[in-house]
Amino acid sequence: MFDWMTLCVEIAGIIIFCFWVYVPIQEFRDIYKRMTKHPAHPPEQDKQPKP
Amino acid sequence: MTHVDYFIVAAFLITLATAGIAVAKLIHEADDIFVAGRELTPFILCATITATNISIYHFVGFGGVAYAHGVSIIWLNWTGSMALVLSGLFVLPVLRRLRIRSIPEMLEIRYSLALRVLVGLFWSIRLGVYLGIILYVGATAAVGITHWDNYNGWLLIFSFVAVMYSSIGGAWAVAIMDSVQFLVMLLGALITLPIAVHFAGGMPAIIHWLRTHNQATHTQFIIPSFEQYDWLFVYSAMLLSIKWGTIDQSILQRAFGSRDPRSGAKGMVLAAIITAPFAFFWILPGLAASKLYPGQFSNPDNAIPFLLTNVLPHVARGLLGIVLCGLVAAQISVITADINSVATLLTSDVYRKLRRTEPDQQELLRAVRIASVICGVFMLAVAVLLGHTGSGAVKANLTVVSILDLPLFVVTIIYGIFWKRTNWQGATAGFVVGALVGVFTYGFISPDFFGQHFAPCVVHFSRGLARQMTHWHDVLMAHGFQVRLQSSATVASFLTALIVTPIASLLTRPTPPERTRAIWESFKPDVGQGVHDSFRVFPETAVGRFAVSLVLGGFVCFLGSVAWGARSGMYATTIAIVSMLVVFAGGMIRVYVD
Repeated sequence: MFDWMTLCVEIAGIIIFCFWVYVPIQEFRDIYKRMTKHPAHPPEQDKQPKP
Repeated sequence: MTHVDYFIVAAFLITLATAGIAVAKLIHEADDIFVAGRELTPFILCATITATNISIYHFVGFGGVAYAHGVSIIWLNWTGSMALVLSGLFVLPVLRRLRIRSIPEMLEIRYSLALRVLVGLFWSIRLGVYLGIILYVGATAAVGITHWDNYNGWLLIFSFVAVMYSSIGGAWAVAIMDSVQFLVMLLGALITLPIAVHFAGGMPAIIHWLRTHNQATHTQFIIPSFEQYDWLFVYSAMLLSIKWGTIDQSILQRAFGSRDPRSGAKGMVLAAIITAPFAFFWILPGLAASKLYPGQFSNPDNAIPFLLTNVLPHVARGLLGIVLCGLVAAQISVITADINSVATLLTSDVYRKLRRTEPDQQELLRAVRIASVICGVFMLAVAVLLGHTGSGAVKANLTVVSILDLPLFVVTIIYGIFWKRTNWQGATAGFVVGALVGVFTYGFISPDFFGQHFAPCVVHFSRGLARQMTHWHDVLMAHGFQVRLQSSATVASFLTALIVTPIASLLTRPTPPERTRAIWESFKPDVGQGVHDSFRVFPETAVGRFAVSLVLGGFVCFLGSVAWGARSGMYATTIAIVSMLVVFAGGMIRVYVD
């Protein structure tokens, strides 16, 4: 017995789920490749307070 | 639980425990553990912020509140989502440009080193206690669901898994595993919702039943009458959410790991939008439970675990195991993010600053890992203690830590970013006096809190004051006013810090402008670091101004519609929800189109 309210929430959840299986995995793969094959971008300098 | 369920949960826990080793390759220096090398992209940020935000307390605690009081608890999530948008657009870009790792670090740039160390220490303890509470809630729920009646055993398992991967993999492991745990959490929620609603006869039947059984307020989003989760609760939630979104170390530290200010803002806006519909996944099962088990639980926290263990095994074997993995994921993601935050605070703000010489990267890496283990032991000790003292202590601790956060919000955000005249003397006075006034007000109106720790005369005095305050409360109630005794401590700490900080600042010498120049320069794009940075806090394009108008206009409409809801306005709820969506739309246009 599925009503429209439950269906809407489920569909929104399933869309987020499918999207999440694809996008972050691809982004992590890119970062991992870049960081293990090439050195990371130079570390940003701290903004120390001036005395 | 069947053997299949136990096997699924055990396999998931082992995967989590060993996850840190897999990402150890990415750890080269301390910043990789603190802020994931500042390499995080918007979607990864969104996943890690969402997983850090949602804990087992949302599924069990908020689901329980929905069971006992109805749907209005959803505003705690939705106001949090709006706060994430506001923080992402107006506060995070400034903080990200300062290249800080923690909020106390910003306090050094803005005020003084002493305030940084003081707040760093205070926040380490505050987060450690909070971690103990989260661990306590998780272990208690695990005992209830699995019927393996070994509270200390569950504490040890959760602590071991969390400390293992957060100490080895740091912020990288937290970010990667948060994305995985977000999926597991969502899978568990996707399974639970339709089954729970189906067993209760569908949502229309649930709503009809609630309305015909004297529980009409269960279906009201904004409750006009004086109740625990009424319209005033929505305003309180909004204030606390803004505080949470702008200074919470565990949330902001994830955003500090963004590649640039715009990526950080995108991550926060996306997290806000994702979390908004997600809230229905614990609210609707709570409503289903209120029809299935009306009035059965004096402690509403037991409603959702009871629902899961009684409904899921009827559908298929292994389902309970998957859903339990979702709950464990919600639990562990919060614990690991907070362990990472405490380790950052202890190492970056306390250890590093108290040393006479600057430690090298290897020393820092060692220190941050030791700090993670110390934090794990501390939270375990707190959780064991809470196991003996019970849920009353949990509530008292949560109230005290929330009271202590507000003075920090006042000095860091309100005066730290938006009033140049504030100096370190004013900030220190506002933080310390505000925190003390808040804690003592809470102690005086809740005598049991002081009862075990203070001299009898203090207890006697506090009981007298509590009686007097209750009397005034009753008198005001009789005239149609409403005073929240428990909220008065939070308001007292907030107002004290708000008043004391400018007074102390004006009575002492102003800070030399060149010392705090970095803060004011951070409102504009930074082009000197080789980082692509084009995000302006105050936009100069027509699209940017339109987007900011939508965000601010939507926010003001939301506040107005809640006030209208207090007067039983017919369309107040609709306008409040539409206003929230307008805030989201404005945020998306601002970060993606402008």
